[in-house]
Amino acid sequence: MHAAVLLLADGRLPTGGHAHSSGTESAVAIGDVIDLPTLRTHVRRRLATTGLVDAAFAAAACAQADGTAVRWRALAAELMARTGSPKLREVSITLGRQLLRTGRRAWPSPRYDVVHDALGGAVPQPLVMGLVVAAAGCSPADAALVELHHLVGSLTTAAVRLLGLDPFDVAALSASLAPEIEAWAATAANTCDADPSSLPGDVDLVTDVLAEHHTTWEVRLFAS
Amino acid sequence: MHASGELVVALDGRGRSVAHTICGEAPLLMRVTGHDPLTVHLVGGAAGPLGGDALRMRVDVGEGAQLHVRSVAATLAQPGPHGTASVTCTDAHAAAGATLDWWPEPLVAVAGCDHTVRTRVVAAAGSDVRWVDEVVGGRHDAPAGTVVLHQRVELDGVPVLHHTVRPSWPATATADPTAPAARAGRVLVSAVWLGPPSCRSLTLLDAGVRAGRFALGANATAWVGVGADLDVVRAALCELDLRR
Repeated sequence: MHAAVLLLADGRLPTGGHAHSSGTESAVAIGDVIDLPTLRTHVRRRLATTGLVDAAFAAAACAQADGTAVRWRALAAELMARTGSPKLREVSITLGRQLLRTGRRAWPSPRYDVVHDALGGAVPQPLVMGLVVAAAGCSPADAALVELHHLVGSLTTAAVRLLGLDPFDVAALSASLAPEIEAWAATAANTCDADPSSLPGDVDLVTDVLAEHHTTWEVRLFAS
Repeated sequence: MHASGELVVALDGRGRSVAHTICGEAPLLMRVTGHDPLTVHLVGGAAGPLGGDALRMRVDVGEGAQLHVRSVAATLAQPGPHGTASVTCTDAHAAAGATLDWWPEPLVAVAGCDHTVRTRVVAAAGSDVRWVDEVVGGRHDAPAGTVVLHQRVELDGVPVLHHTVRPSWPATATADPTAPAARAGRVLVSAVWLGPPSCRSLTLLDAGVRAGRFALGANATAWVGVGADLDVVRAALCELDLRR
């Protein structure tokens, strides 16, 4: 395995992801996630929906890192069309900006400016992930896997903080999902050369509703 | 069974919307039921979709023309004799200045069905298109079949919504609204309205429903609702300004 992949997968890499629960905070508040079994269901549903989509777009961005401005605009438009909640669109752009800053310093590449300019500075996080992974010399399959790894990390870490779950139990849960994460990453990487309009579009409608509802809370621990 | 239907509406010389083509093979039968605005009802000429069926529907609304599409009853997606899947593909085009309002009765995914709904809406700038898909998991008090809902909506060449929804319906029916199965909901509604200025994003959550309205840009709004009962979900979406 490439050492750069380990660094990209490290939760301590400064990318701003620690401030987000990726929807776990709302799912806990509404009672959908209350313990380990419900957390497992929550993570599996997200892997099969937003996880697959973000991983597929990260893989496609990595495979097409030399693409034209037109191509990047098509990728971004297709990804936003798969993100119903305006709040989640905004979060994706914010996290993209933060990861881009890290990528520019850690793995410099002239491609960042091409994409940044093509999209007027609003580059969704999965596309930045693909770009950074390419700049680090890693593969579309790596981009998909790292994207899913961060999703699972965000969902499970938030659950530990919000529900006081045993971190050892949660680590075991994440480990038990490894084959599933690898399978979704392989599925996502398989479409990396496809036309952007035919990339996966699986969504969980409740995730979108809860993400918007979360913005109305007066007090919250996570940004999303 | 493979069947197709076609509905082409355009303005006539006196500025009235007229159905130039309205033809379909059973079960895709249509009848004109109103003229201001031009309203067409899907009447369901045979059982279907059944497992193995491939139904294809094309709707075209010309420049400045108006069309409302409704249906006389819910559509039941049922298993066929050989365990094969069924699919309904609908392609809709709305030209500049056209109005298309698509809101048929729900699709009921009957126990054992394996049905895919594939919708593609292509709307020109300056059109007014409202598209509502309602799906119910199973008959009353019965388990649900498998259904996949693909919706792709483009406005002026740009994708504004591209969804694949695979509802995980409860395997068995339950009367207890607090049971985990009921929380997942047996009804989903996904709608989009292109043309009018988009509505501010808003959500509505209570024991029986999770519903939201999302601004998808300057001239597109989406609604989603998931809940235990169609009337409850419709009522929630009505509060979010999605009304018949």
